Amino acid sequence: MTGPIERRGGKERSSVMKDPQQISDMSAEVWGEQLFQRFKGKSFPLTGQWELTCRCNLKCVMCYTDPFNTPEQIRQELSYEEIIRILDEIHEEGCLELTFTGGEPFARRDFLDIYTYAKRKGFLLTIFTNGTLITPKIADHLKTYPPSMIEVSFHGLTRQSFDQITLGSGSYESCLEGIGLILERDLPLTLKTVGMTINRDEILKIKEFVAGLGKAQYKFGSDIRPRLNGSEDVYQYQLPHDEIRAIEQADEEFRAERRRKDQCKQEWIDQGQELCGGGKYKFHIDAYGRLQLCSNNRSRGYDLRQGSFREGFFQFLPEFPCPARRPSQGEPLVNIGTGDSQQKLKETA
Amino acid sequence: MPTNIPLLEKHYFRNEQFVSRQIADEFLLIPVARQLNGDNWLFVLNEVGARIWELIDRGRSVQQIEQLLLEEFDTTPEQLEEDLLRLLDQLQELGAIEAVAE
Repeated sequence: MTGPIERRGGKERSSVMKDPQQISDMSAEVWGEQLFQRFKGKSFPLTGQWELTCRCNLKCVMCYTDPFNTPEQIRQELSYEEIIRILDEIHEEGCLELTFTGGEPFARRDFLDIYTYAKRKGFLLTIFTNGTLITPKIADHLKTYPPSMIEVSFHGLTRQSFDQITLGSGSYESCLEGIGLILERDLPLTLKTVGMTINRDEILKIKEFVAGLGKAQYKFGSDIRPRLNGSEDVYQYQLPHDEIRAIEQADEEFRAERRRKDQCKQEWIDQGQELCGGGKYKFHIDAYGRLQLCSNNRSRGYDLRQGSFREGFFQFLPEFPCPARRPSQGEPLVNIGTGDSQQKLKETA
Repeated sequence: MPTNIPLLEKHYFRNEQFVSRQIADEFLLIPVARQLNGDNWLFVLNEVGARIWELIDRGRSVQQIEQLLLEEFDTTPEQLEEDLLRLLDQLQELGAIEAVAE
């Protein structure tokens, strides 16, 4: 309201009334930043990443979830009903942004049902996908219920290099078809590449290719993680640090992005802030319903099949060890919770 | 949109393609089926705006909504009517509400 309107009988004007506008529009990012400035360090589950499945039609050489892409492991994944129940709980606690990933989320037959349910609950959704399973029908559905972003893994610029990484014959063409379907419908798209020994000479060319697509964004990363079964064989594909830096230095946008990240990190360190929002405003859920700090830290998990998201996020996640926390808060904790709650804790692989 | 109905007698209904969410102490309107500005765009309603959103779609006319708001908030009828009509205009422009054809 433009006037000094207060609730009858109210002694203090509500904080929202300080804003004379009845309705304001803004990006979720800006809104989230404003929320956290007001919260001053209080935990709030604003954003989460959910690995809905480890199943995938491809077997990328560096994929950390691939060892769990087996019938036996897949049978243990959350059911549709369990996912909906957890979604409702996450919604109740105020989560706004969710990223659905895998494995390959579209490899779940019920993925579009899960996605649409979440959209209609008012989540802002991002999908991480390999793009190869996107059909015209799926693309049309996404046009009706648009995601905030579709991020497609794109690790090679030729059929040979692409399929060499995905170990899937024809995956290059399928991925390009999926990308085309997304672009035809003017959906938000990011292509991303993990820099590896196999594609080291193609990264800058892939970036040029993406620029030529017109509407797509591009992300380059070099993060290779041990597989979920603990195997570290993936590191054979890891680029040496100086090669990654050389690739970044060869491109103006990459250089700028590196400067921005380094500067941001330094500011956080100088301000004594935590370097990771895991357990503070971010969370991760694996395919079996374990709530974790992030996809890269699965050392501890809270079993959402047995307990509530509220208890897991507010009582357990803050106590899980994380090397990115400030040293004073980063010491591993031994005794967490008591009684029934303690039993809900389950060490992950 | 009908033009022969006096403004205050109009009824509106909420477009199902907008979802309202209360997150922390904020009231958000989130478009489900639209991409706005190619971004994660959302709309924040203040306390009065949120109350108006709640009162729409329950078969109430604009006049009835105005009466209820006058009972709940300290303001003048003139101020309230001006602000109420402005918000209804804005919501209609966004496509978040539509006037009932009568």
